[in-house]
Amino acid sequence: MLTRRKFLKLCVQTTVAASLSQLLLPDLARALRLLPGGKPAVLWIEGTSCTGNTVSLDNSADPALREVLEEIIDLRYSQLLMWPQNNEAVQILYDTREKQRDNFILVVEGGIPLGMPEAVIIGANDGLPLYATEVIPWLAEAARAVVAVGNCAAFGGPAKTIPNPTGTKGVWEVVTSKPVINVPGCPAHPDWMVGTLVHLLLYGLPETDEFRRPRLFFSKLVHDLCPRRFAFFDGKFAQAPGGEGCLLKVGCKGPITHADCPTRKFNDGVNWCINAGNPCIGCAAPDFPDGGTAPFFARLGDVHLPAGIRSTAVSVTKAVGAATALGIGGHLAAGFARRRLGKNRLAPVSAPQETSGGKDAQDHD
Amino acid sequence: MRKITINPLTRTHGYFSVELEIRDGRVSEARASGLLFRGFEQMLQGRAPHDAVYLTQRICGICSSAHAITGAQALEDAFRIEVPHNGLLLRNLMYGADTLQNHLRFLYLLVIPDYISAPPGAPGGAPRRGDYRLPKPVQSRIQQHYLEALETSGMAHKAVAVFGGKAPHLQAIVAGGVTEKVAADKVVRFQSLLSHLDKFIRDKLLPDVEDISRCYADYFAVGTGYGNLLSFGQYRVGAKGAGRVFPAGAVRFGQKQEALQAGLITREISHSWYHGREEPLAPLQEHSQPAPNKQAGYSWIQAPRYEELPFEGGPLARLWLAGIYRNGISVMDRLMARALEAKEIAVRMNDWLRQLVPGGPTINWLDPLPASGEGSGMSDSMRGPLAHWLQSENGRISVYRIVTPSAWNLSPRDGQGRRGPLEEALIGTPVADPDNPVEAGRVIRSFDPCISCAVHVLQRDGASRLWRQI
Repeated sequence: MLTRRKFLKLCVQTTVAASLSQLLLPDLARALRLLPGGKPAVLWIEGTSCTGNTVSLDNSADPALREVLEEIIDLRYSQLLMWPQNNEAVQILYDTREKQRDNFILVVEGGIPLGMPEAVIIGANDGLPLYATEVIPWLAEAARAVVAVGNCAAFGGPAKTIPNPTGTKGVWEVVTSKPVINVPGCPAHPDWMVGTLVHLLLYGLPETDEFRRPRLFFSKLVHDLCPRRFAFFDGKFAQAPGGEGCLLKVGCKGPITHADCPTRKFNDGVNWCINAGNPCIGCAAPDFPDGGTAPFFARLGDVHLPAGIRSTAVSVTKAVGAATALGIGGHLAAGFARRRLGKNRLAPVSAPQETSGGKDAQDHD
Repeated sequence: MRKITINPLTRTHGYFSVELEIRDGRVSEARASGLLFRGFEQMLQGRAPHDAVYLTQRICGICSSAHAITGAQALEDAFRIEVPHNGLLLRNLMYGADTLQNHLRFLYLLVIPDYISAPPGAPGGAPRRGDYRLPKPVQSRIQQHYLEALETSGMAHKAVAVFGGKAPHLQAIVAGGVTEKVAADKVVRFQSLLSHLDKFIRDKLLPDVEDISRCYADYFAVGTGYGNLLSFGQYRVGAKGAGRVFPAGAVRFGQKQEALQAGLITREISHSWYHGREEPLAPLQEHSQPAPNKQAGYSWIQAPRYEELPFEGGPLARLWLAGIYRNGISVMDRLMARALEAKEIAVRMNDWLRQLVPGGPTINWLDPLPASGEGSGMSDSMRGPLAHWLQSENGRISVYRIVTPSAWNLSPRDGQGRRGPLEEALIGTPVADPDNPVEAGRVIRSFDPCISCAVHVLQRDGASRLWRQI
């Protein structure tokens, strides 16, 4: 039997050779067959979305989406992939909500455009629009669990970029009836999505951090796992994207971004951002693509905001971002103390500029 | 006369609905509505220009390389940056692989369900009714390929990531070139993935589309539309990337090919949910604001026009202008052109791989950029003509404008009441059963609609019907 302990171990091991579910799939299929009701129904609803997470899920290598559909979930609703359309599609939402109450899983991709409900209309019932702002909480209330995939669903993400024209918010800021699990990333890695779903099915809610991210995948900083960390300690810094060495000076946001990209890598492990010569832009961070992550090529702490913008993201993010950046300062200072920083040492990084306003200074709510 | 609305029209990128009037068994009027708005042009204002290459990719999760390359070209034009030859080749390779990814996903996951019955495990289950004409063995073969395509399309994205870092939303394309290096192991890996894709295209995709086109030959006469074709040119080749594999140009129905004149591109908002000046304007002159309650509006998509006329873009326009495929303009011609283009691109990609110089420069990085500049990037993406325009002042973007292929294809009416290309193509489509308008779905999907891209219908005229059972 697939114990939780073994599952967790497999999840972190994946990076070695095989992918998450190559190791997992045989056990998983057996375990899911034993669940009452079999494969659980999944409704995948998009808000202010680019569909990039559906596409990323379809890039899942082991298991391929085919196996996910055959062995793991019963994907009842997906704007991109579902065969039925029109009323027949809308009917599936109502049927699943009613007949699979407390059994189905709601996956949300894209944020919730609270400030402009007309921005996302997912269908119609009897000629009248179904707004994502209403459909998502309505389904969440009846779901067994809610998973927000991608940075937009988790934290508002690119859809919430200043000045946030649609007043988009992350699902967990809107849905209160259920604990929402956040699987950020732009897009989310397929292993993060499949791993979270499987944990949910077999063992219930995964352990999460203060941003409701599964610790399994988001407990470490990109910077801490980065293969170029030695260059950082040796004071070897790339002067331009594509250069050798640590990419901190060309804007790397690895020191404030929690994700296991450096060991897991993307697209079946073939590559990942820093390995391709580019700084991490913090696409899994709560305030991406603003706050501490912008401008993408500006060195951390060098935060410039467009004139007239009072605040950036969820206020709690700022506090954590600042604390983490201070942490880098400390980390660098420790490097100096240990004399591990060579001739090309850089000045200690300052914390991101505090933007004005307190907890309630969010714009366009 | 009967009025029907298809909402949601599934198997598209982003939310979309179409309202049809049906008279004597044929579509007599059509309105297409994009139902997703995020406002990227507003978001880009005030940002560092380099950010545009990454942020604009977030418009669309299926064609991210198109926005990356076009955005980078806009910056290179504005700030006079030249991309090393290796960098151009790597971009072509990523663009090509991403296009194969798109075409495989489009044809198998989005289109083929209109022509075959659903295999077990199909998302959402089998539709209640359909018009399935293929002989049983052919049908089960294509069902099998549908499942295989779920995996093979991921392989195409893997090829993009070999040089792009990850896909979708690749990281290695920046203004000035590509940050990834040309190394033997990467070239070999890309080559190996490409040969798998090439084999799938030749052995499965092309025969499948040909079989469908034989059994549904009537669709060579459905969805014809205006017959105006437009391409901004794709895949830069030759010295300084001045040439294009697929040439830029325009063809008005039945007339001779013309050279593209960028100054003839306008967009307007008379039937879109935006407030602002309503006459056709050059994109950089247009400063509209979202207005979801505008009475005359019925879509989030604006109306791009070329010399004030609606034009369609995509593989058919590209292959037509390149002289590779000129059979006709219809639903089936669009599908055939897409499949043929996949084959054609795979051949070119092998050439580009051979031209790469290992260890050679791939990037000309310029930072800080000059404080001000103005430029444009024009390219043809998976679905057709894509252009980005940018103005920057004091080191920040002051205006950013994006006109996407799906805006060309799915646009609503313009100020003169002319329908968008998809709307026009729907006119005359036979609909046997208005309760199950599969024919209209086929016409619409032949354009590979991407609302995520197009917007960058419905009046909010009452309470939501969420609470009422259907």
